[in-house]
Amino acid sequence: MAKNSPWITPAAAIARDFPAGLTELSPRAQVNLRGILDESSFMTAVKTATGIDLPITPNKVATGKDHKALWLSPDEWLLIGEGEADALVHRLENALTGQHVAINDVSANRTIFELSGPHGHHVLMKSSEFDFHPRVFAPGDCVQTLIAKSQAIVEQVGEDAFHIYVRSSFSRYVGAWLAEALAEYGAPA
Amino acid sequence: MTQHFRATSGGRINRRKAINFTFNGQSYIGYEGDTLASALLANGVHLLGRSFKYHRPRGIVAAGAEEPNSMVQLGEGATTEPNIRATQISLYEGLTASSVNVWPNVEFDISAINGLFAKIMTAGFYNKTFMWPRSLWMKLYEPVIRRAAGWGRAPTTSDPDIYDHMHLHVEVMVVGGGPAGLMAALAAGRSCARVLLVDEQSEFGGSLLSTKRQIGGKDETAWIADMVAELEAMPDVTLLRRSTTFGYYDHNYLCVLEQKTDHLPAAERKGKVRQRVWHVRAGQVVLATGAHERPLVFADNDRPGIMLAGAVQTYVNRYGVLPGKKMVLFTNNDAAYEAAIDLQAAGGDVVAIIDCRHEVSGELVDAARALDIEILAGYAITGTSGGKRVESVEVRKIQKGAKVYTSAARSIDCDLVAMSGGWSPVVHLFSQSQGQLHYDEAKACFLPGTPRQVQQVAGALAGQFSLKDCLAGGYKAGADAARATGFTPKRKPAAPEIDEPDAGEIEPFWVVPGSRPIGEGMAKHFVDLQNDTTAADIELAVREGFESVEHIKRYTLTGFGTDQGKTSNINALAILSGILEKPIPKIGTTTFRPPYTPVSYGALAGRNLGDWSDPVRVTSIHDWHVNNGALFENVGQWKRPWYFPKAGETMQEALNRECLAVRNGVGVLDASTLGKIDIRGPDAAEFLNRIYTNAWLKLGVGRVRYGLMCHEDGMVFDDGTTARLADDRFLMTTTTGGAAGVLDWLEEYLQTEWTDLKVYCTSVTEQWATVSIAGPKAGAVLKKLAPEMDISHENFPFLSFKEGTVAGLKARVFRISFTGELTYEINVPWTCGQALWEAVMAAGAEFDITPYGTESMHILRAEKGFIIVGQETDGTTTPQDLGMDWIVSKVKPDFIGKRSFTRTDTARKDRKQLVGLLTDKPDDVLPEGAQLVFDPHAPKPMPMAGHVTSSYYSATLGRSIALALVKGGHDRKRQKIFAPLEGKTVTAEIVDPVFYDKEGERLNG
Repeated sequence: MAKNSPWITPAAAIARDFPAGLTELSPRAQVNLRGILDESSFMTAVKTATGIDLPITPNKVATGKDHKALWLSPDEWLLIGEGEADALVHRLENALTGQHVAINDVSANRTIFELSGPHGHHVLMKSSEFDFHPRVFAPGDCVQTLIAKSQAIVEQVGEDAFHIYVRSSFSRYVGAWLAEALAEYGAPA
Repeated sequence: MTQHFRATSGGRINRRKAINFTFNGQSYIGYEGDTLASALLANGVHLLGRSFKYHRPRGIVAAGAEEPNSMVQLGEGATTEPNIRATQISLYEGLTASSVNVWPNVEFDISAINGLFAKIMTAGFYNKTFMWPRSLWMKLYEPVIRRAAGWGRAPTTSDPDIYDHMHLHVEVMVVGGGPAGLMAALAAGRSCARVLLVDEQSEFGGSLLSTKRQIGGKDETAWIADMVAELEAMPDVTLLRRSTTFGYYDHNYLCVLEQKTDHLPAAERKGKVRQRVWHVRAGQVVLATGAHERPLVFADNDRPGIMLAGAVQTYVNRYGVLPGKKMVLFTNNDAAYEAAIDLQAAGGDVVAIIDCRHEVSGELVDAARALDIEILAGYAITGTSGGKRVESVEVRKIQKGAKVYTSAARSIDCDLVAMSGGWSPVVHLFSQSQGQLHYDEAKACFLPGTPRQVQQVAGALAGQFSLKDCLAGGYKAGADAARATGFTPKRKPAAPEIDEPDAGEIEPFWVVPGSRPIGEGMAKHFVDLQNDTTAADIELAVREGFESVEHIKRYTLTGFGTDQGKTSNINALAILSGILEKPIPKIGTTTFRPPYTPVSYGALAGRNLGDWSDPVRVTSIHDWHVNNGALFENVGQWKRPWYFPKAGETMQEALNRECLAVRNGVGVLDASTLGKIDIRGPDAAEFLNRIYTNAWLKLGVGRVRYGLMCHEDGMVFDDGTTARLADDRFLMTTTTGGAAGVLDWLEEYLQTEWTDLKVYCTSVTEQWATVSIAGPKAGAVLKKLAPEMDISHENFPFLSFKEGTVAGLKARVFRISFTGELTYEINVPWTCGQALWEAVMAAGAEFDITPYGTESMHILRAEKGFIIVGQETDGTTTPQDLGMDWIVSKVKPDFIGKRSFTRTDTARKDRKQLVGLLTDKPDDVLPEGAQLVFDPHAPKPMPMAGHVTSSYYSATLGRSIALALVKGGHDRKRQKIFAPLEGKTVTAEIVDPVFYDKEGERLNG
């Protein structure tokens, strides 16, 4: 039986030494979905497969019971769930048969860093030109931008917690950058 | 040494905390809160350096960023910094500094002899004198002049300090933390807008730090403290002290340099960020940058001890320092009288006020009279004397309305001359933001006119010279800015009662003649102290035909240097206006450019240094490569293994071994870096048919095809193989460096040109790690790893793929070849890449499987004549130039680039075309990039015939091979061509670019 393990996360080699406030998350299912928003059959089918009403407002996250969906563009979303992506891909393919869609397992394409704690905002200010101020960006928001000059998706998951989705090949660079940006603030007592 | 010039009380310094520092090797003591300048003045040190051209003794002129003279070399070793203004250096324990532009020392400077030759060292001196003979410029003149004119020394080792950048978005940014800026920040802050207040000083307060005022019943110190306390309590207000807004760019994007540790003793700086550049995006900007006082231009106005009146006031009130004990004030306005009054109050003696206006009256004049200070109205200073410090001034009465003297000279002894020619609003940032300036006759200064960006101006910058106007103007600007960004300001508080003297009027007096006409005799009327530019230089420049202010600047150097003419620009153009008899507004100003004050390279670089300078991309197998001795090559942002030398091997030996392993056994390559794009939709095949030059509609599911992409101009821009995963789905590979560009290209055409096509593209580059095994024994290795996969040539032919299990991993295997050998490219999820690689190495051990890098890959493909986009192509190469007509469809109705192939230029016979080269001597390996000629004896410059694009030693062939682009090369097979190199000319024969296995028999192992 083919398997997707051993699964070594891209930043694992440096993540051991991350300071408090930065971790690399364990792997989870990531599926890139493209489809035509205007076709109600598309939204309905996705809802059937995932239980989620896809967000239609730019840069918003819709969270369901097992999955969440990040708005990436007017016809593109990133679906996130626990476990492996195969089952989710199959459910989507079945529900969307005959429609013009693109469904891709991208679970290995990006790794996810969690940045949390009182200095999360400062680290983002050092790493990105995007405005992450709480008035502008809040839990339930996501954005595609550059973090440490590298393509990334940033999702706010809590009051002071962010998930940063980074292309696997950039993960060492970005992970080390974030760790260094945190260093100034020292380890919390 | 004790602080003889420290007033007995007063100032914002902490007299309980003495600070030891060293200047020019001499130890001194100052107080916490001092600047280096104030501490030196407290110790009676006025002589800080020598001037740029004449090496005249120079001292402190100002108390802030506008200081033209007192540049010092600060610190030692790797952290030393040249040309830092002593007026802006916060004193810290253990500070060491020294003069610049002096040799052997500031007291005795050999180059001061230049002063004797001053008559010939006028404007344009260097341009005129060192033009001939031209050949001596680089060798002799420039090095000598640079040494003589050089200021400080740059450190010779790399900067050990930490710098970084931060990005901040606010509704309202307020630049300048004086009374106007504080009020603006308060008004905006109270509206709940996000506010940033930036000030270059160690504390907020601006001009209030230098003057004594009562505001609403509080003294200035209490008022500032209350303002700052309220602002600090606002959660969305950011206050930056010691921070200079140095650049104002488009769309209200401003850059601020925050000096975080420069005021701390060395021991307290360790591990901390030294300086931070803030990148600010502001909805509205309030500029409250204040004003700089102008010097008066009079004879020998540059001696140490001749200072701006406002600076004297600052040293007295803020630092408790008497810059001199016997002061003469020279002014053209009332406001400067306050400096005299404050010095007298602090224990100094004002011996005379020389006022070039004939009628003087007003509150401040009366106050000075009440102190029994002699006021000489209608008088001017016509000369000064003193060596390393001013000792006396010579004054004469001026005839009203004409610059003629009507009295004999009178000499007045003094040790300090305070001067004031009026105030120039600090329009630098306003002007950088492209705002237009206008000249205000009554105030005798340039003021902000029409802005180009969404901004407000307030305070002295806006011509609001009284404190009352500053507070009102500041509040209004802050409230207007907040309102413009969608916030509602609170009701304006009642204006506080302010106790301030009436500033009276100003009468411009741009240049004060000496006892002889300007330019005659030894006296010099300095306009730009940093560049030693005099009024006579400006006159000379005009006589020589320069009239534009921009030309005058460049010819006389006025306004150049580290101070960018903050004290000299307006005087210079007013003098020019007088000479040309054109009004000042017609003269205009020179351009104000960032940075406002110098910014260190370290700060500009931030953390983008060394390992951080650019993102580094690595594959999931990177650690294996590192652990197994790979050397790496940068390909775009990727680190790719270049080759894997074994102990004792030279590079060539390693390459020979790697290449022969692929040709005779099996090699393995990490090909994960190739770009991968999933292309899906009912029109996917049609889409590829239009993107690639060859045909795609009939490619069967499960099959793979090589394709070439061109831009509209018909020039090759990427290539790769694309597999048909399903009827409506393809997986495209791109070159490593081209991946992002290709995806953009595909999306551009889908979104803007072919909106009718139903196709989605998804980048999956890092979803798949790719391990390529190549060589006659590749099949044997794959068999072991994928025993259930049918890899017979019948069922798994060249240019097809299979899905299955490899090494227990879910995989896709492609049969393609970039080496000419039997090759399997195994794709597994990125995160399983290392597991697959290790399994391949284990399975291949019995065949001595050999990891190889990009260099061997290049050699192997060159032996086969396969191109690399970007190496054999350079954006001017068509498929036909590459001899790849076979991949350009003659029957497709259209594809990108098609139309361009019939252009006259692309159809030319003598285009540079791809050929192979075999050097006559098989061991000669041509350098890549070598220029080629048909006739090595042609006179120089020889007509170029082309260039070498790829060149290697091929172990397989036992000789060198090269690929080249040669004019008309396709029709020149068997002809000789020459590469004239340094010391020798290599002769080669033009051949077919396929050197090895022309029939392709090796593809099946």
